Amino acid sequence: MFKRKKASFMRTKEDIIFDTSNIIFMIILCIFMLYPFLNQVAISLNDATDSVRGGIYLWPREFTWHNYEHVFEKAAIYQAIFISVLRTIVGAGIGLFCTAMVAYAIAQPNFIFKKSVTIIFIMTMYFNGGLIPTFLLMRDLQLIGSFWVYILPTLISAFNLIIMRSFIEGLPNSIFESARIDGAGDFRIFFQIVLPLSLPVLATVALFVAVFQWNQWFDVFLYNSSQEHLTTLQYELMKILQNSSTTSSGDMASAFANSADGGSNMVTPKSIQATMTIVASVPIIMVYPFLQRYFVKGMTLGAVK
Amino acid sequence: MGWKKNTWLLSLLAALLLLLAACSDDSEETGSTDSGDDSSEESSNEENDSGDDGEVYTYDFFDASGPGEDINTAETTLGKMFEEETGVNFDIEHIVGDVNQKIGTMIASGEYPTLLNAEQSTDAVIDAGGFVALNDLIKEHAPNLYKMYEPYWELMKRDDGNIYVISSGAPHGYRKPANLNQGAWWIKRDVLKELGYPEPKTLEDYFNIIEEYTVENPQIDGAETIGFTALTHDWRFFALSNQPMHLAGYPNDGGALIDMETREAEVYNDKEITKNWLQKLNEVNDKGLFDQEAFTQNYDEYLAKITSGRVVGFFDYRWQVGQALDTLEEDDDPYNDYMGFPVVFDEDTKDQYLDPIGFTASPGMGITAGTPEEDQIRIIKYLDHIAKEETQKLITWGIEGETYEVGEDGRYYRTEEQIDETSSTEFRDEFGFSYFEWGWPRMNGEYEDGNAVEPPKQEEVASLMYDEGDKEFLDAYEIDTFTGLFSEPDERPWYPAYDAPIETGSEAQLYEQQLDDLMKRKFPEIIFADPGEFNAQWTSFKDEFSGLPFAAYEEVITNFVQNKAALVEGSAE
Amino acid sequence: MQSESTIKTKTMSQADDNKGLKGFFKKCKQQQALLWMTVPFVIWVFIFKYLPVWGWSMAFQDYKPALSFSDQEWVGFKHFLFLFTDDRFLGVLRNTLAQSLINLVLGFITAITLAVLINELSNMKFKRVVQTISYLPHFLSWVVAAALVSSVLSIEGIFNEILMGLGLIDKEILWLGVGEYFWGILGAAETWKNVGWNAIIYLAAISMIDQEQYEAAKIDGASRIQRILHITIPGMKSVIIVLLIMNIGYILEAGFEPQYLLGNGQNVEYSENIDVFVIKYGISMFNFSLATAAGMFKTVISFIFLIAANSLSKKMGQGGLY
Repeated sequence: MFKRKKASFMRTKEDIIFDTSNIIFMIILCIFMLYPFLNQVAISLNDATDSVRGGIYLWPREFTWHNYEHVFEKAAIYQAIFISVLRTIVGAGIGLFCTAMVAYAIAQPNFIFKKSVTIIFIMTMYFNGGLIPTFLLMRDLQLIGSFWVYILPTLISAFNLIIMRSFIEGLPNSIFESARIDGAGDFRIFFQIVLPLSLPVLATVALFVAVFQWNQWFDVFLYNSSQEHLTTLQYELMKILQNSSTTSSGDMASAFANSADGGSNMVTPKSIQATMTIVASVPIIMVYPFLQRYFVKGMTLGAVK
Repeated sequence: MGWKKNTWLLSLLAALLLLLAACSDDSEETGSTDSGDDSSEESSNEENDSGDDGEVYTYDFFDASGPGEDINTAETTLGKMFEEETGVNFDIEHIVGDVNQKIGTMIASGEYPTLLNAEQSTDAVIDAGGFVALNDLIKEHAPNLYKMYEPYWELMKRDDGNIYVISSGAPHGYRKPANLNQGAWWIKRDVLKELGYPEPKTLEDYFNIIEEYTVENPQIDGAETIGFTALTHDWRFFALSNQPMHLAGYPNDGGALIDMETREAEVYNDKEITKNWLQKLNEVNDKGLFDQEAFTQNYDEYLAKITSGRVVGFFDYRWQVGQALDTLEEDDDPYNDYMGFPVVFDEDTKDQYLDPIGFTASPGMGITAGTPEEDQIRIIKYLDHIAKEETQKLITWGIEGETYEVGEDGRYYRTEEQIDETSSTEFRDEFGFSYFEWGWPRMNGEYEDGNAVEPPKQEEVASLMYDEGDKEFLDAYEIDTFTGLFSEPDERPWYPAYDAPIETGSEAQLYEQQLDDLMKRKFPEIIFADPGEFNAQWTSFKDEFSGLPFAAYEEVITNFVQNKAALVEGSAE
Repeated sequence: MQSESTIKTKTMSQADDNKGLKGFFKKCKQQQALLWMTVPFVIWVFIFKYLPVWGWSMAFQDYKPALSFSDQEWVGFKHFLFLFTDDRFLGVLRNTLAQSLINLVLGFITAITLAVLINELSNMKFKRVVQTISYLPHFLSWVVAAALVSSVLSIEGIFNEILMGLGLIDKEILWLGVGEYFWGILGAAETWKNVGWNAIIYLAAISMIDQEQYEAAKIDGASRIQRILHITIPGMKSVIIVLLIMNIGYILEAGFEPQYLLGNGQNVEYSENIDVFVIKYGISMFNFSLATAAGMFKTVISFIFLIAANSLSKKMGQGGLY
């Protein structure tokens, strides 16, 4: 609809200059943003020992699939991918729902605990009890060795909560009022009005949570490292990366031991790092384009009114 | 419409939750069979208490000493053999993140895997009572293990007289390695060839070679020649700060020189030898021979630079530049390889680049507290089995006729095919060489029959590894192996001094970190200074250094050295 | 902490409601649904976020994980003193503030600008492609990103080559070897890495703006720039303010990975910040106490800045976080 309307306006000279320079700027920007990625693709497709020489830019010098084969030859990686996908979907789904619900409540101007609940959550952004107390808590809650240790501790991020709240506060008050007059309770308003109207921010927060969940490896390291069936892709990749490095532990004795066996390494940290970058990021990058349609739709307030 | 979509999403979520519920049920089950908690271990063992025959016991082994593949030992040829003999196998888990953090959580919760190598956190686990004492266990149930470690028995004891961990590498005799693995002053072979195979003996000689070549060849393959580069990135800074020690004729004892007579430790970072070293670099820098990026390049860039062939020389430990030097060795050009020399300050100094025989008591593997006695016995028997000489040969040489041959004179050797096979990663993984590596009870040096413990240290194996290019240089310098130019190490019963346990939060520990920070900050200023400014810069460094608690560090090292030396010499008598 | 906030809650609810306790309960009943929506999560937040705060006691101990709470050795303010009396502390604090301030300002300006410019693209396909590409660097780990920055800035790197080509410098500069450049390099690297990611939230904000406003402005003859300044930017205002206040609270969180990876002996006087310091002298030395003390210090500073920013914003009539 907008497109047709737009066409009826004459593009002014200002518009043309603006659009052209904007497009040029964006193209330059894209080159800057894309290059490192393509560079990693090239390194990941290049022979590992050859990569040590450096000087690989956009095209592999000695093409090979070996780095990818090396990453995917371990059976553990497939289970890890499954867990990663699962925690991303479950984490984003549950997290989004809970965040939105609390955000809705603290966005209500007359909610009696509006301020206190808000403060209680905001404060959590600026402190943490530390590694060991948190670990002991997880142990006491019997979350160690379970999938839920990925979901429960990070159920609601205060940051996302506040973002969501300020979007909900931005919705015109009249919608809520007319709904209340019609006899709708808070749960109905939340499900039937707020959620559908907040798609852009829901998409944003979903993306934030999904990316956070997808990238996590530290909680696997702390809580579930001995549960082979619960490790995530990032963790398994981390493992492969460390294995590829003969001297990563920083300890002379083990470094000596590792290199003493004489055999040449088929993979190097650099090439595995590149492969890992691609393997770990491509799936999650795909999420954004999918969510983008919720951004451009915009608000169709008229329909609601 | 929005509502419909929500319903759809919700039902998807519900479906996932169901799936999850199924999943977590499963996880609990598996968790109780092979997880690390002791309670389940106990219960499973009670069931199995009836008898040892045919029963296979699986224990968790958490290895923080380095990365590796997480597998069950019985999945390898060697592990399967050991399982058949002992009825025991291990689920190995290697560390992936920070050791201190991971071990810290284990200590705090008191939940340990059955067998543990806690690497740099070993002392913390011992302090926490996390390991059981092994003295009696070994004496009663592990005669082979006892025999192997007997010479070091006293060294393994802690202050309370107990032995908690078994470290790897009990030296039995010395075997000079055929190939360099430690520090050396490297020069590109091309350079050596062009200058008629000179042999640098002193630091002076070494930089003269670099200067001569660089002046004649300002460019290599179109890129500017780099006379001398250095590795300084992050924790690898010692590759620039250890040189004074080596140049003065000491092996790598870490941050202090140990006097051979008095066995007193003395830090050297503010001494003349360090000044001389920095002054040389300052002079070399003034001549344009020192890599301007030496302090900003990261590890990868450093390796890439060396591999590019633009670098005339550098000092480093072989195990740090392995990736680069291996790459150069594998290509067809024998002249872009590097050759290492034992350079010292003056010709009268005897070089000590090769590691002396040394026993390190920690880290090592230990059985953790809470392990039932029967399990402790089974585990120690397994380790005892590994400590048998024929098992040791299995984990180092492999199986006769398959991975090595025995000559008529009883000497072990490998054919070229066997060398190829045993250096392929896949084979090593499958056979188990990769897993029964350093970390398990292990001999070092040579077997009673005179064969080297480690195949690469056997001349018969090493010589087969040299190609035509290597031989050209071996012949030119009239040596048989690339360590031929290096002196044999003197006896240093305390070696290595850097193994001294340094208490958490102590001044000595603080000193190490502060010194590292100070050197990282000041050394570039000193080296890049105008030669006229050198003395002022050096004095300023020395002044700041004098404020560090180095005396505390020296005391810790001295105590360690003297105690250890006394114990070694005591038990030798 | 826990009791403090409950007191707050009480006093506030009383202020909200003048009819006393009875009225309060009545209101609670009226807002039953809202309570159901929040109370479970308040319990959650207390368990998962507030309970572990007992760990702060470590800051006053020489904490040893093996010992039980009652067996720990109490050392008072030793670790705080170590932190505050170190010769480098002021420098480290300065670096932290400078790095995070540069990051804050640059981060905001660039992300908002990018969001506005992306919004102005009329071709939907191009718009989506740009959006996606612009957030790619966020997915590179700092190890990879720092290696790239380092190679771009090396002596023979592309940056020197361009500057030489343009005749702006006559000798290559070792950018990472000069401390004074470090903040700038870090700011640029952070911006490059995160601008696309940070823009997402503003794009969401823009998409919530009522399209009719634009149509109306067009009819009124408003130019592109005018529409941006008078509709787009004001439309994002509430999000910008909320983010700004929250980020001001993070004033001592300058990150540590890029500083650690790009830092070296030559730029250490500008690169070392609190987090890097804590890694060196705390975590890597098995000293959990020092790390905790530093964390507490950061929390206190965060709260001060947060409260100040919030009340300032309220005074300026822009609303606040709470």
